[in-house]
Amino acid sequence: MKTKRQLTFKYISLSIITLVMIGPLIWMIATSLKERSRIFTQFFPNPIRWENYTDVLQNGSYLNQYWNSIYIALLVTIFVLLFASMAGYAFARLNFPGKNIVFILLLSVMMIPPEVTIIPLFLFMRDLDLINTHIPLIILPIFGAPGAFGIFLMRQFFIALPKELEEAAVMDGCSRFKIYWKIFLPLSVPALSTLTIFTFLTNWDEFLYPLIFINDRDLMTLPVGLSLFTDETGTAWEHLMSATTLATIPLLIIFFFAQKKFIEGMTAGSIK
Amino acid sequence: MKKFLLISFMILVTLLAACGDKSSSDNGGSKDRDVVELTFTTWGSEGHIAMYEELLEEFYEENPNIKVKIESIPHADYQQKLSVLAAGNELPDVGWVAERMVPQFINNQILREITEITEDKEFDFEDYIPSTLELWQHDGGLYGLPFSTPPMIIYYNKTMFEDAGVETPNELAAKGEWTWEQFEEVAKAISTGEGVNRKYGARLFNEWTNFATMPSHTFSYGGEMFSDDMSSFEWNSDEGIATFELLNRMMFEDKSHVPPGENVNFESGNVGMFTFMYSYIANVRGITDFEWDIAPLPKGPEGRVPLLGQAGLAAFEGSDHPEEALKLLQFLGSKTGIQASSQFFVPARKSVLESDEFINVENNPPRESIELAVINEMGNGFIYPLHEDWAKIESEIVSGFDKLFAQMATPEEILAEMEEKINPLLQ
Amino acid sequence: MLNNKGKPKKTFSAKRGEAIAGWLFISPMVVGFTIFMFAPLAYAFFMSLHEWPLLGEQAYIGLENYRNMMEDASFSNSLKVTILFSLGLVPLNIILALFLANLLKEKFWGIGFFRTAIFVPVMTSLVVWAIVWKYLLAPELGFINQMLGWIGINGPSWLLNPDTALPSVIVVSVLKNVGLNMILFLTAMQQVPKELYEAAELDGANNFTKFRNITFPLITPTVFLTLIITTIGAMKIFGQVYVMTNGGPGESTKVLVYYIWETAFKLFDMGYASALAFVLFFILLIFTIISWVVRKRWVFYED
Repeated sequence: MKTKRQLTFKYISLSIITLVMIGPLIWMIATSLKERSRIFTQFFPNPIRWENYTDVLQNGSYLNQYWNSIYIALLVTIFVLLFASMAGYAFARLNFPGKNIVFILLLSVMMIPPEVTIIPLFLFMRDLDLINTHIPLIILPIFGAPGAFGIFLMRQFFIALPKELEEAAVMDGCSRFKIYWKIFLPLSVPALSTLTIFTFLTNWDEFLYPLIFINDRDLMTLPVGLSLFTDETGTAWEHLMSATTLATIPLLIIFFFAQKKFIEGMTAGSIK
Repeated sequence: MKKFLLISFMILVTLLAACGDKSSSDNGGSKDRDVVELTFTTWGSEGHIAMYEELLEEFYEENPNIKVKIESIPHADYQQKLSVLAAGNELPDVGWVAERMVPQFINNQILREITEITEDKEFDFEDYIPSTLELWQHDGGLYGLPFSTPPMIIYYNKTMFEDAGVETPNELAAKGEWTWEQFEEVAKAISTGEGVNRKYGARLFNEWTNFATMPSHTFSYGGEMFSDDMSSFEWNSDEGIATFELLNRMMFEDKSHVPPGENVNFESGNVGMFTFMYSYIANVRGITDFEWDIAPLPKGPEGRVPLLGQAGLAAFEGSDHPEEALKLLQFLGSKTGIQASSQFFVPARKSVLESDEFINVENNPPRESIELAVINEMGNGFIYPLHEDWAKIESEIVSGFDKLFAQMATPEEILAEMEEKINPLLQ
Repeated sequence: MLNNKGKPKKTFSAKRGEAIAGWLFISPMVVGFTIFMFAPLAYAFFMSLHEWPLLGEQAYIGLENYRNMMEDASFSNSLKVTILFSLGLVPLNIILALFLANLLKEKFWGIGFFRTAIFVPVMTSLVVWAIVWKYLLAPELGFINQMLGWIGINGPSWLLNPDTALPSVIVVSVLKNVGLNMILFLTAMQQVPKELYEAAELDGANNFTKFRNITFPLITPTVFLTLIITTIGAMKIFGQVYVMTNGGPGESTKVLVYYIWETAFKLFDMGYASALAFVLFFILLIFTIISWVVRKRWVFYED
């Protein structure tokens, strides 16, 4: 009886929160199919206007921006996974002088609003002749807030693994790198998955860097591209929403199928 | 395992090299002396860009050695991005500049003096309506060419007026009776329905932070917003209070004005009269659900005083190709250029303003309406008050309207507080 | 299995080897951060000691910018708003995330759907999420107030009223990001050995005591992480405010980073904007150091 009551409670509370979470998504999709004049006067689109989607896709830059967003976020993610897991491992499992101070220093980059470092960064990237390229958009997050977050996350994960793991390996004469690569990295798949989601999605939504560093419409990423749908006369809601829907749905589908693996799939190989 | 590391680094390095290369060949006027590439920034929509791209074909014919790259910056972030570019000496060659950026840009010397291009006979500089140039002139020099100088107008839903059996703004204007009192009356008379289905008589704000229509009311009754030399805030007057009271009545008593914070827009057919610049017409042309027209703002005892918007074309300092940049600017500001952009913007050239091409765009309102609302008003308007600290002043005014919208203070209290906060900023 | 006793004594050279290895492991990040973040950070600090218009001439003025803050009512207000925002957002976000993670940690029918649903806002663009909510929260025709109307409640003008604007922005921000913290907690909870629960069930523990005595203590490293990250994120909030309220009504939602942005890019005063940013930086740094020092009292595995 008790478990049944619990289950009911579970379903009810989850349904409420789900409604709040996907309500806006439903409105977004509905709006993406409406005629401009009917956006705020009807809830369900009638007539359905598929052209909103073809309009967006025919805009030559949209697919480029889509691709840019994907590959930049992927590259950032790969490098953050690698560098952050290395650093996180060292901070969690190794003793070396200056460890705590360096750790806090690395975290501190998360604490400065990018609005004030953007000027020096811009000057710097200009001197390297990297304006209007994707390099700043790839490098800056790796060595910025997402990277710092990655180090922190990996440290917190590694610190919870039992000490015996590496003691045995050290005795066997394994190098530190081998211990990290062969023992710790495979164990950290759940943490790496979480970090993948985090890094990918924060980059997917990054606005300031692409706004400042990119001039070409074709080199922009989606968030800046999306804000081009708003000008001084207002927002082209129907196009903004169809462009956003196209950008969100594939992520949703991937997440739906991958979430089990991401969250629990690898626990079998993990520490019991 | 170390291989993986090595490969990752190599990817990063090649990437750096590859993209670095690309950028230098992109900007590389130095490598290829024959073709000069200019950049031209706008916050325009796709329609605007398509218009410019078509227009530029003509420019290329005359100047085969120049290529123009049109760059877009989101409207809301335009000033921020241009400022960073200016701080880094990376400004575009030519670009749009909005009125509120002009004082800061001129003071900081990032706009180029362009008087020389007006000396060309063929350019016919005299064609520009003198009042539209004031903003761009500074110490006897010219720093930009306006391409859009729209007076604030009213878009009205003819069908709503017919359904209510009320005379339209243009009919009233023809009789000389199109006053703010009438405006308030007809707004009330054409409002119908309740809740989601309510049709509102008026909407005087596009964004709820954009109060640009409101000073017109004060001016029509002889009031002022600032003293002429911008040294004191004068809106806290009987006329100013009357302006705020008008809004108060329409929003909260008659419910004839769209309630603050709502998204009910003109295209939905639920707004009787909407005030905005002529540039909104691109959104309105597609309406098929009801009949619409445009009209001038209402008048008061002191006449009709719409805000005159201003956006211009400017050449920026630090260009690698200053001569070619001026050529492009001259072309964009020429009769041909202004003619092309007049399908979206009110032209500052008299010849274009009066031309059939400006008026007879597909789905435009009739010629008489455009003459009445736009062309005849070009000389009556007021220009945005400009001040170096305008951002601060504006945010105090917006704060005041916020209080009105939330019904937290009376018009008297709001204006008194504005005066108290804004006067120190003007000293 | 979790004890730390019986460490083998390390020889001097092993210690040195460990130190070298440690520094090698962190070197890519340290080098990258030094070039791409600390150099600009130092530059920004340098700017904060100057009268530094974004365009135009600079002049060294020492700590004048910092002194000016003392009398700047907008600064003290924005600091207050920022702290209120964080005090509202952080507990709400973490408690909700813990609650959801606890509900969604074990398999049941529909779990994939619910997990995905809660993750939807995270995948939606921030700007779009914020403008959709701005629309939903509109005073009369907005969906929220219409729904409240059906059950006879006259909803407030959420974003237009200074009393409700900040809470509205807080809730919209929590909804946007709670999924991320939930995923962090879910991952951590998967690492908790199932045997511990089984043992507790034999002792007759209910769900809440299981959570309090087993789950929570074992995921404290993640809770610690989440607490710090969420606080930093909350103190740096900008996007939602920019889209939903522009800092208004009045200055009721003008958070510090919004004020910094306004100072830098609307008033062009980079010197003062940098000084403001460094105040934020030092507040967060002190907060982090204190949390770091006291973590050993409550975070598992730290020694």
